Amino acid sequence: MRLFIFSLFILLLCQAAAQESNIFIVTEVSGKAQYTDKQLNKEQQLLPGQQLSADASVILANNARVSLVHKNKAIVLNKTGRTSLQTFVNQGDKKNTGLINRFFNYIQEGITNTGNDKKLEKYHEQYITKNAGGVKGFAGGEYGVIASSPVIGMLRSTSVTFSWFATNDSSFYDFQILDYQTDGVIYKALLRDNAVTVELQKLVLEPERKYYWVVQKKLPGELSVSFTFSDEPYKSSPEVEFVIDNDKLVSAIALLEKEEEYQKADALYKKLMEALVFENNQFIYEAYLRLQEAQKLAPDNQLIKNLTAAFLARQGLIRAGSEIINSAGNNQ
Amino acid sequence: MTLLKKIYDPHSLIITVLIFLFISLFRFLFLNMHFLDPFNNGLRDYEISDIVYSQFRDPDEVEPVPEIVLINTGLPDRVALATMLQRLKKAAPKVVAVDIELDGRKDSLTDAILKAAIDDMPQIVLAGRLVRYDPSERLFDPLANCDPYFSENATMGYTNFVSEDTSTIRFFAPYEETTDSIVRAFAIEAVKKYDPEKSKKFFRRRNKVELIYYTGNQNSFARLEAAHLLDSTTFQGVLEQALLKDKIVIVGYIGTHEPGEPELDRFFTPLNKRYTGKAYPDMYGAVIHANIATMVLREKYVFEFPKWFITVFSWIFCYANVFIFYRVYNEVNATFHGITRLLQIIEVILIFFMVAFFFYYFRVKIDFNQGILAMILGYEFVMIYETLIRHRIKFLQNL
Repeated sequence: MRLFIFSLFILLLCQAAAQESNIFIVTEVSGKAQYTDKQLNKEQQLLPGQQLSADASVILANNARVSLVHKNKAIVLNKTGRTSLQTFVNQGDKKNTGLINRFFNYIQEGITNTGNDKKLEKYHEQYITKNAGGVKGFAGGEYGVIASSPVIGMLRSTSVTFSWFATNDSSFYDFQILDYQTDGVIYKALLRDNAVTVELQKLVLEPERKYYWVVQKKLPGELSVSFTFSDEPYKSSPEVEFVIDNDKLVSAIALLEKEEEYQKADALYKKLMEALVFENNQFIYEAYLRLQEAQKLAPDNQLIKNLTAAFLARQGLIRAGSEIINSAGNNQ
Repeated sequence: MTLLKKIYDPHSLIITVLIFLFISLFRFLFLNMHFLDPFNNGLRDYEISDIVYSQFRDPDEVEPVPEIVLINTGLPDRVALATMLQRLKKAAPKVVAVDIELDGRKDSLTDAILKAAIDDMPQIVLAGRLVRYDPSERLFDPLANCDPYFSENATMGYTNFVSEDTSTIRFFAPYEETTDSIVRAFAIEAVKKYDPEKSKKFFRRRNKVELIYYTGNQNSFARLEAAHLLDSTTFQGVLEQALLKDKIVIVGYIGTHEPGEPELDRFFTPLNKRYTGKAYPDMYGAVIHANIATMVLREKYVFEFPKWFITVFSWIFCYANVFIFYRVYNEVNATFHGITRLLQIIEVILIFFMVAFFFYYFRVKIDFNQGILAMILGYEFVMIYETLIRHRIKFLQNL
């Protein structure tokens, strides 16, 4: 009898411990997120700090995102619709790579990727992209200069028009293209206009190397020979990063051209399909050009205007997107 | 005795002394010629423990800290802040630490509403700043950047960290003396209210400056948005679920690190994936305070070996290396270069591993840079001693 009670006690203890470790802690919720579990009759709003059991499901609305911690592992949910947490229960048991493995990977990585200056630079660039920052660098925030065309991500070395919204309080704009690694100035111009077309093929820009462009507003009294840039964001645009890559776009087009649907599509739909493929490949500016071409093909098509506005909003160019919507409204 | 005789070699000892003299001279010169220091803003500002934090920790591993909840206020006006505080009071947290400087007075009505909300909250900690230090008195001016109108009935803590403007935040000072009184760090004041025993234990360490042990970035802490408090329906959920009850709530500007966000209250920490050179500041001030509070609550401190121990060990280590190098130089001269360089590489990797191992598993930080530098210089100094010094000094030839 004693043995039975003791075994039962141990069993219950183990079960309680297992349940405890199957708790999902919600750390962050953005957008509309709900959850439900066996005990709940209807869906409830999900809030940070809540603890969910493994039998719960999370239901996300469009663009919603939830961060969870389960068995000391971070989980991010961003798929629209219902996700059962049960799917993550066994994933948490995966064995971690230990310190020794990570240490030797680090040493090996350092040796193999830093054999010469070129390799080191490449390694560094690959490293940078793993960091926070991403490619969507437009979000308005407190910046005084807001871009109006999405020159970001991957670019072809062709003629590219950089543009931004004119500010009321400035007469000139100091536009620069700089090397991301060294901050070395590749191109600079003092402009009266709020747009500049640069023939990138004439600049010394290396493929797969990261660069950024930035604009600072200037008043006549602030002009100086050295073009010193201010650190105050309200005077400038964000630093928008881009990388030159000609090959990837060619292969993306080649793949698209093989698609039967693309071959059958009319000119307008071809443009829209190209825009979608380019955006997925991070050729944001090329995608934007295709959308503009689509607008020219069907100037009264409200759907295309909405698509372009949504595209710009996805890049963080809310103002540019809303101007398209507003101009469409005015036309009607 | 025989062993001592075996390992005693006057030449190795002289070379060891020369190496440490050189290191001291080098340090003295570089301290006085700051502009010559190529590592001033780059490599100098990193430590091996940074690599442990940023590279050797499992990037997917998160240690949750349910005792602390962060609330991102964005950039609220004072009325919104007052409303948030009023609602927070209803949610019954144990401590509310407001990492927003209430500098100066604005509109008298909104200020009065905010003051009433603060006064109604005995568990509040307000943020202040140490701004001026008087070296002759060795005292700071009283805490600034928080109007006394708001702080007269509230506890205040300073949000300063021990660091230069752009360098990595590794340390904080638990307390400082001002011309008025002794003031404590913001996170420490929060812990003191939450668990006085833990803060007492912390002060028993008697460290004037404390190394911060980082539990994690903001993934470790639940993070609510201002809207969660200001929206009545959501707030009802917060109350029903008791999400803030008996917790430390840190209220401040905590962005999402999305590009284009204003770079406010954001710092470099050892968790930054890019531990050298130019990078993005990776952690918001409020999250650093949360890490400090977690360190004290969980008593997860970083331990350091005493400096004297490290110095003695560096000397022994350097001597042992020089002893071996010297033997190799005199006995198998043809392979001196190859053997010593190979030994040096193996030793550097082993020491790097040991330093990482102790920090990773035991939070013991070993600053063995001097020992490593001495070992690396050992090769050059054995050659300098043998080719330039020894044969010119008779006394050394007779040793």
